[in-house]
Amino acid sequence: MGSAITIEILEQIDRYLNGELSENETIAFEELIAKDAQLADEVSIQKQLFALHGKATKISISQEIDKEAVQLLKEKLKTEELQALSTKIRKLGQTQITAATANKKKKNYLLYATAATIAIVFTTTLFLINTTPSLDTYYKDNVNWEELPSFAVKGENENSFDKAEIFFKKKEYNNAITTFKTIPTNNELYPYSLLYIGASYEQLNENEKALATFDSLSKLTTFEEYSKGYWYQLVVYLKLGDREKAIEMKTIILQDKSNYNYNKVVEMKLE
Amino acid sequence: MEQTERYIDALLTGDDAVIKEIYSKIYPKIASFILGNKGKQEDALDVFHDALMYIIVTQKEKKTVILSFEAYLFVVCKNIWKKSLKNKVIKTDVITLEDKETDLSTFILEQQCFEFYMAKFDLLSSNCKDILSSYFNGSSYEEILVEYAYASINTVRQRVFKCRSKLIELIKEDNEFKKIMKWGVQ
Repeated sequence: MGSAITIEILEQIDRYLNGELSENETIAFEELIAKDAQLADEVSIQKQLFALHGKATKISISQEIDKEAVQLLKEKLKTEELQALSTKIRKLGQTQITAATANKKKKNYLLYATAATIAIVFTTTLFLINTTPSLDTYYKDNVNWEELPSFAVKGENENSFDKAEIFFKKKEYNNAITTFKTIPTNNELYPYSLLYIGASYEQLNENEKALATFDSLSKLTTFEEYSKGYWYQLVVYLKLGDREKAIEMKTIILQDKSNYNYNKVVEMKLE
Repeated sequence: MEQTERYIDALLTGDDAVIKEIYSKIYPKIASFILGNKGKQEDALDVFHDALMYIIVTQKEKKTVILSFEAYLFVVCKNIWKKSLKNKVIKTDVITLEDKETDLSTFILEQQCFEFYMAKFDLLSSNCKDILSSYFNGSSYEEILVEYAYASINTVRQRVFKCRSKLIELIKEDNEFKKIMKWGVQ
């Protein structure tokens, strides 16, 4: 290959990795790689760089992972110290999950009991004084876009999600929407991009678009947190003062106790 | 940063209270991601355990700067889960403890390789990072010309080449490069 890489060689490597060479060209190029260790290294580097950006190349290079390095690591993992840490981490994880589940059940029970008590006291109080919070108060108490999960990794290569999240944090909502919209539907972060797009529209006061986005999210039932779509629609209806639609959304949320913010909604007096 | 160091020290020394705190603060987010991506609770526990072990092994070998523990852990978990999903398609038999150790060891090499390339990419100028991100994500020279308002295709081609050459130089001048290449991670 010679000492320095040229623009032509790099572009040839790209065409090879992306499967754009003809069969004959591919064979010829692979023969070159087999003879030229420097070229083989360049191909390997470029493949890694495409992979780093989440783009799988079409050519798979048949190279076995270094067995010696794997064996060394396995031995390291088997040392008494790391075995003890591994066991401890597993145990602590298990204990923590069991405790969290039990706590959640207990909390739910207490919440139901509290909600029932509050309901009785509240109904009685209504006879004396009408203190039901307004829809606007509910909106102000519940709108909190800072609670959206953050996935931006500082120092990592800026992917579209990272860039969009930074726009959102800088309150550049139009840029955030445009960038979040580039996240493909098969990306694992796509449902989260819908959350951010809806929040951006809400902040821009484009409420109909916010509602449509949260509605799309609520239809992604394979996504664990799809019920957030209902919750945020409710928040937007509260903002708009649309009591009828807010009650409709409340009814949907109360159909399933696992829905997001179920307990909060139980306590909302919208009727 | 202080919190990150506190978490890493706790992992290295096996501090029960802080490890519990890591589980209570971060695990639910990881579990939510895995359950939303074809996984079960037991998968989430396995992935979280392996990611913590990855951090222990690599930080024991060489302390590196981690800006946000939570974001870093999320990326490691995401990569482990991606690899697991790929392996699940290939392996249909019962997974033995030996398999699990081999998988974790292989993952450690792959993740270290990923972090090596990522660190080198991060050393580029922000203009180079933007252009190469577009290029490696599949944008054509024509698309880059429009996106970054360059004068001609030839200018874009030369700019991409210059940035890639710089990146190659940064990769090759690091002594770690030879070690990484020897691992044969693809």
